[in-house]
Amino acid sequence: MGRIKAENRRSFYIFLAPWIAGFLAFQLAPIGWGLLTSLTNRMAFSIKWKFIGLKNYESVLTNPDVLYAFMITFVYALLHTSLAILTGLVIALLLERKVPGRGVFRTILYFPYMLPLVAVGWIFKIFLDRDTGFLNEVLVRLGLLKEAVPWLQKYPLQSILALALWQSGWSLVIFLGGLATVPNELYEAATIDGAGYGRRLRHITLPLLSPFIFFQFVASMIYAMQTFIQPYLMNPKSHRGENLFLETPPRETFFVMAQAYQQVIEKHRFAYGISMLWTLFAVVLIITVIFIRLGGFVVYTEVEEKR
Amino acid sequence: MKLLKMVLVLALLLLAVGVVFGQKKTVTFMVVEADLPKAFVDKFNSANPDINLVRTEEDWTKWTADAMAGSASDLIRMGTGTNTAYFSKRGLLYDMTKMIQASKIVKMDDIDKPGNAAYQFDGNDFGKGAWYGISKDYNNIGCLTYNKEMFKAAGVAYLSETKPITYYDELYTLAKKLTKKESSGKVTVWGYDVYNGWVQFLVSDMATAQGISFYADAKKSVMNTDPKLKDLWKYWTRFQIEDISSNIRNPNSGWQGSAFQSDRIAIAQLGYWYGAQLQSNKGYNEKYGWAPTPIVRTGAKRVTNTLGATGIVMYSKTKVPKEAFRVWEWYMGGEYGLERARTGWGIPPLLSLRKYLPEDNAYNKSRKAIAFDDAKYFVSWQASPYIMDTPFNTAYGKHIDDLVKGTITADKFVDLMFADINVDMKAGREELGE
Amino acid sequence: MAMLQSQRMRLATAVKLVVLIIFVAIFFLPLVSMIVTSLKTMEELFKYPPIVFPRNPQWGNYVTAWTMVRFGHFLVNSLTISIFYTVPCIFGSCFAGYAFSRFRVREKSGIFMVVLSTMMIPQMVTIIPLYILISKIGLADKQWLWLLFGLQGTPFLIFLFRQYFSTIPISFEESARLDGAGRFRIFFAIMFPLVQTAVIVAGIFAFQWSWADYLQPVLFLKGEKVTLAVKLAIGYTDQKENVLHHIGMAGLLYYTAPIIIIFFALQRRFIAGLMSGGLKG
Repeated sequence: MGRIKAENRRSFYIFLAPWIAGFLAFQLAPIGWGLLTSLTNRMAFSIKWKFIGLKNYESVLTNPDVLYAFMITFVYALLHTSLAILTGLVIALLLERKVPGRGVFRTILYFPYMLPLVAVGWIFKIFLDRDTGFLNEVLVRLGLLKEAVPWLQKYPLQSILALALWQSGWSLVIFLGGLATVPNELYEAATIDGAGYGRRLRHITLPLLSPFIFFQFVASMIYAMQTFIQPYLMNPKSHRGENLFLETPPRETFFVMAQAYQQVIEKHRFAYGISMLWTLFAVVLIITVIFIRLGGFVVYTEVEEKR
Repeated sequence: MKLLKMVLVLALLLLAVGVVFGQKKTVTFMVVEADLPKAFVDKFNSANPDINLVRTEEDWTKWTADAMAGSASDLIRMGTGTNTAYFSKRGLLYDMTKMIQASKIVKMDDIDKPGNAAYQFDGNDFGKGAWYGISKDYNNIGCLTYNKEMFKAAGVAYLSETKPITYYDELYTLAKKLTKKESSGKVTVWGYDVYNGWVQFLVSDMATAQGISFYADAKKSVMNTDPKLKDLWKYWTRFQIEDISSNIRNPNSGWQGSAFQSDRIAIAQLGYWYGAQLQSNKGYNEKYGWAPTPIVRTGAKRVTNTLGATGIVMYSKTKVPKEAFRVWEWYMGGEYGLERARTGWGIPPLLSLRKYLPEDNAYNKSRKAIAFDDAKYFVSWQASPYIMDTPFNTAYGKHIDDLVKGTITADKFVDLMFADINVDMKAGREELGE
Repeated sequence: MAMLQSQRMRLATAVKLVVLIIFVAIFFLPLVSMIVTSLKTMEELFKYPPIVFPRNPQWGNYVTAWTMVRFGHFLVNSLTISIFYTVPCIFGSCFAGYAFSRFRVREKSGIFMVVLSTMMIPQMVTIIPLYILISKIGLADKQWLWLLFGLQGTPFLIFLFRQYFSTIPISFEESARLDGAGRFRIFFAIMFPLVQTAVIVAGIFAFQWSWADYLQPVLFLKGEKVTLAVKLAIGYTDQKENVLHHIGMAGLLYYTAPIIIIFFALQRRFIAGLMSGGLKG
């Protein structure tokens, strides 16, 4: 028994070796260096710097701009996640049964997700422009709007959300997969018992989809809380090509990571920016753990049992 | 057989020597492609087989990371020349004085000293001390370009080409008169559009003309809260509050340059170089007029600025200073320098190149004359060694929307702006180990 | 009764179709905007009152978009980098996923949490120090670095493979073990072929990410070695830093074309892959 266990362990580590090597070389060393540096007052071009302990973290946690940013980042992440998942679910349900042109719909709705973020940001900046943007033109022509709306200026957060929703194809595809795992017999049995669509949805589909909803929720929150480039791409004030991080995005979209980026690249406050990022990491970790506890989602034991 | 062996050995030896000495030295040049097209890189490389010139994209992230790693590009394009103060204090720039003194292409007495003052810094002032580079061309950014057709339609006389108008209040009144709005309040033509990126240079000139310092202390580490200085900042915000300039209510989809070109601005304040951009519009010769940089009020001193101008500097830790200098020389005074002078995109850094500036029509003649006139009054902007010029843009842009919306007063705006800049200056002092 | 039910079903399908078409129409709008913009002239971009549909479609913009940034050269760079990254990434993630799925080791769940938590580390935290380190040992500006970056795999794909492997009954391996086959033989001969759809899914994602990645190429590469992502970020600006939206939109279409092509070619297997295998957990 002991020999099998040892052999197990050896094989485990052999297969995990590439990841471990990469982790040690590409992550552990930089992480360690970054953490140590965050305890100094080093700036990008510092002539000399010194150890200042946790002062950077203190500044981060007492800065009202940063605290506001944490709040607004969380709100955005929540909105992004719930709306994307909702959209994905609704479209997946629409595409579930035989609908003509299913494959075409699927492709078109997934396609925007494949576009690189910087491309999408640029497209939306032009699309939402008050004077030259296509959206206003369409809405005004259709009579849905009386006059052009300055979307980027008046609704910056919603503009970024629109971009996120346009790219919500990932959710659609995961739900399509999830729906395929629901056994047909359950639906048939329920229909025979007289259950309508609504009841079937509530008592069969949604519960069986819950692991998928959960997985998407956690993954999307982690990702969305790290949003940083969209606020700059959609910043109505930046126009010339060069320095994207020069203009501060509007308050409601100046997310934590975007701020940290400006601190490091624009203001050259390297250690301070890094400490902001580590604080973000800690917050994301705590939130994730809370959500996982709440959802009763334990990643590995289910698999263990399946074996 | 013995002879053959000897020849072989000799050949190998020569090859080895050739390899060692003929080693191509790579010079990296961080610059946007528009300022150094591939065609010119290739030309240089074929003309100089012992150098391999590589252009790398200008990117702030890379520049910062490289500087921290100690491996920045050998030559770097510096967008705003006055940032040489900032970078030289941090030991990032190479003192090129001796190399320039020995140069046959970029001769020290051929350098236009006032125009390139930003690239000479002695630790405290511009225009003295070590040379860290020169501008690739420079401009009087305060001169005005106006749309003659709009002036005519509004019944306003054209501006004088020799006598500057005043900020207080001619520019303001003119701009207000030329602003056109629809009945809904939407602005179709802005009289004058404030360019967030360069306001600090204009304010600096206005302050210098009145003998006011930006900073409260001699070290230049804290902003001056003198009401007279605050007034100067408020002057510019007035345009945006009153919808004479683009703002959050009436956004500009492009920037001042493109909007003026599309007939959405009556008066632009960009500089000599802008004249070259406008030449792509039909009928530019008759349509656009030029005027010198305004003065603060009647009887005030004339003070103009080049914002230091875009130039090329060398990295202090470069491993190939001689080769990098050869590239630099070629860029400034060689063939590529000539090319730039001929197209009138700016006043050349070298006096000998001035004669190439275009003078083919009234438009080019007048903008050139005004540029040289303005150049007589050049003063470097009031830079602080603790920050670059960018904190001014960032701070101004951060709070301007609140001011335009009316949620803060103009005084509060200036206070907030100064507070942000003071934070950055404090960080700058830490950076220098003070 | 039966008649009513089929009628109801047809009505339901019709309603679904209408809703879907509306969705798709909305989704199409930004794309239409992109194409319309790409056919404008420079003046039409900023004219007021705005010209939404260009007077004369400037098909020449599509030629300029290609030549202005020497698209072909950087396309090869992007392809190289993406392939260098994707292939090792598939294997690295697959190995790690297999390890987490199969071997009962006490510290496994702990290590898995570490893997997942690396997803939460903002890219900038690791990338700048990593660049500084690699630059100091003189290995910067080498495209083959991406082979190493990929080898480690990535948490999302490791998780994906883990789920896939978990759906394969143990009996497959156990019978092979009884026959005396070694671990590696089992892996390559039996397990790997069984997760082909996961491989395709992983390949598409990894390719997409490396294709879109800006930060790593801009830091680690320079000059002629950079990728399209870097080049297009500021490539479409003219001499006086005006952003050329019209040419840029055309360029973006070129930029996204390879990804779309790959997706179309492997579409069915990709979707099928995400649908089976289950990301249930």
